[in-house]
Amino acid sequence: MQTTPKFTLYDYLNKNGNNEFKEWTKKLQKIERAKLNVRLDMLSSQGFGLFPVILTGTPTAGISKLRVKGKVQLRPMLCKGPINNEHEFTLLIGATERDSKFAPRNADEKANDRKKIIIETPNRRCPHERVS
Amino acid sequence: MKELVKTLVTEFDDKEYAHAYMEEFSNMAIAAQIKVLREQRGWTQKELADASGMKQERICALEDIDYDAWTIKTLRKLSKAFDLTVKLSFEAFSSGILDAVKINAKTLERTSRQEDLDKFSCDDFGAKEILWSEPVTTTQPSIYLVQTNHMAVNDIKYFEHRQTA
Repeated sequence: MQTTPKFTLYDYLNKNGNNEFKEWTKKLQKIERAKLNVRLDMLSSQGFGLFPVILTGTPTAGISKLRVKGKVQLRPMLCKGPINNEHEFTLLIGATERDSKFAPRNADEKANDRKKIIIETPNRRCPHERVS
Repeated sequence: MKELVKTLVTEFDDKEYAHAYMEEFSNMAIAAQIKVLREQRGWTQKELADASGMKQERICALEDIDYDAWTIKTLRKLSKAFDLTVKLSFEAFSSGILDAVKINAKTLERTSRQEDLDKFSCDDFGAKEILWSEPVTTTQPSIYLVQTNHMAVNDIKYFEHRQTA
């Protein structure tokens, strides 16, 4: 018995059509990418059901961070939807957190800007491109 | 989800990646199972803490999917509280991949000892659960493929078959 994914993941595309989240992921260490992919797989297949704290809020409403513990605390930022809020998550920006500060700075605000862009222009995202 | 299985098989060609992925998954799965088992019994964290001789704060930490410092001693305390047995074993990566793909709350639930054994007895001690009556041919000790009715994390279980013939 295999479960059907509850959520489809998407990646934000910049104005040149480049997948910045994919580029960010490529720069991670192999172990970090593995941990990130587990969390994304569980988020996609389970949503919040089995892992209620897999996502936590940020200072910006509507923007969540995926917590990936490690030498570097990965905090990729994402939102539900924003086209279909019931069945989608969109990865907006790759980020890390140290001493309660995000890198890049104001990553949550930048993520929110990108979310707005996608709402206005839905083709500024693509199905999530996995990097292993 | 077959796509994810295929993806993981390809990715697990890299040993370092495979171990990192499964270690992270295992940590998340055991934390999730503690929460699922507690809720299955209708217990609060405080009630589980009392039953296992731990503090509520400790239970909270153990249910956190970021927790990664498991000890057998802690797992045994919890198993006694849940009236379950801890099954520790080394597993093949294919088995781990299936666990990752099939995980959900139902697959993590377990029935406590007395109820489980009563059902086990009623089911003719699991005789009906054997799908393959013939041992699989292998260079290793023979195995049976068994599917339980309890939807275990490893709901495909391999049992060593002791050939008596």
